[in-house]
Amino acid sequence: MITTLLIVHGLLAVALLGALTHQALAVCWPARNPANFMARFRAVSGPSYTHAVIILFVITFILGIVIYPAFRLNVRSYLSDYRLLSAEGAFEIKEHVSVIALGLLPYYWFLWRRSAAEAIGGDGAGTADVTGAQVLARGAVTLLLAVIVWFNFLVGHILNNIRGLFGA
Amino acid sequence: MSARALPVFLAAFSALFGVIYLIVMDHNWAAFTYHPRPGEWGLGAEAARNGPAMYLYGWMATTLAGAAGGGLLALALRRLLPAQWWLHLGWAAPLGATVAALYLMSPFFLR
Repeated sequence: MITTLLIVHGLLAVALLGALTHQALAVCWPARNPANFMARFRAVSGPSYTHAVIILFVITFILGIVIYPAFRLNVRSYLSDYRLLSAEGAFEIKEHVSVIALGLLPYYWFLWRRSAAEAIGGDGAGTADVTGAQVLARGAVTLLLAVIVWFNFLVGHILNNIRGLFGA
Repeated sequence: MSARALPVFLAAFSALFGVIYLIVMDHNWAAFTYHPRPGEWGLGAEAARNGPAMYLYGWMATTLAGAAGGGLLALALRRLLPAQWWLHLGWAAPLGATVAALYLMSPFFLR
């Protein structure tokens, strides 16, 4: 059962990785003229990925939480016993940055779905300043999420190669 | 919550979530502990029972409560900062928390 969940966790992570990479490249390096493969990869509609990213992240996270006790009992103790401290440390980082990314999701949703200038309205702030801040925040949050998901995917993959799949 | 308050609440929530999580984790202020081998739960940060203890779930619960409370506090203080500063805080603090997490875990790679 745990092995099945681990495989589903990994497959959902692949889908999440694809969606976030498309969106991060579209926002940080937009393509005006989709002339080649890379440009077409970047020329996607960023907002259309938002709900998919949130749903995939939350489901992948929940699956990770469900299989975590098996990892803690069977894999983590193996890493400690064999003094594989870098692998253990990499998982610790994966665990902590995943939680930080989870806390970013409501703000990420807002930045892609709503106009802050419209939401804040007549608060006295300059609309152009608020819009500029939202564009910067949207790029930064999306890029941070993409980096975290890439890191987590690679660490998960490496740990799986060490002991993950049949460790439980 | 009014639509005007939403950006400030969400930015403050995201900013505080990462920072509070690191503090909670570093001080082990877990709301509860899970003991995976016996399959038991305990209130607060308990010592390990018959196998390792897992604090992650408890850290997340403490963090959620702290970030939600901090977000509500930010609503009361939202006029202290220009709107665009709140928006910047929402990404800069989690970025800082991510870098701090790397630093806190560096002993694993330096031993």
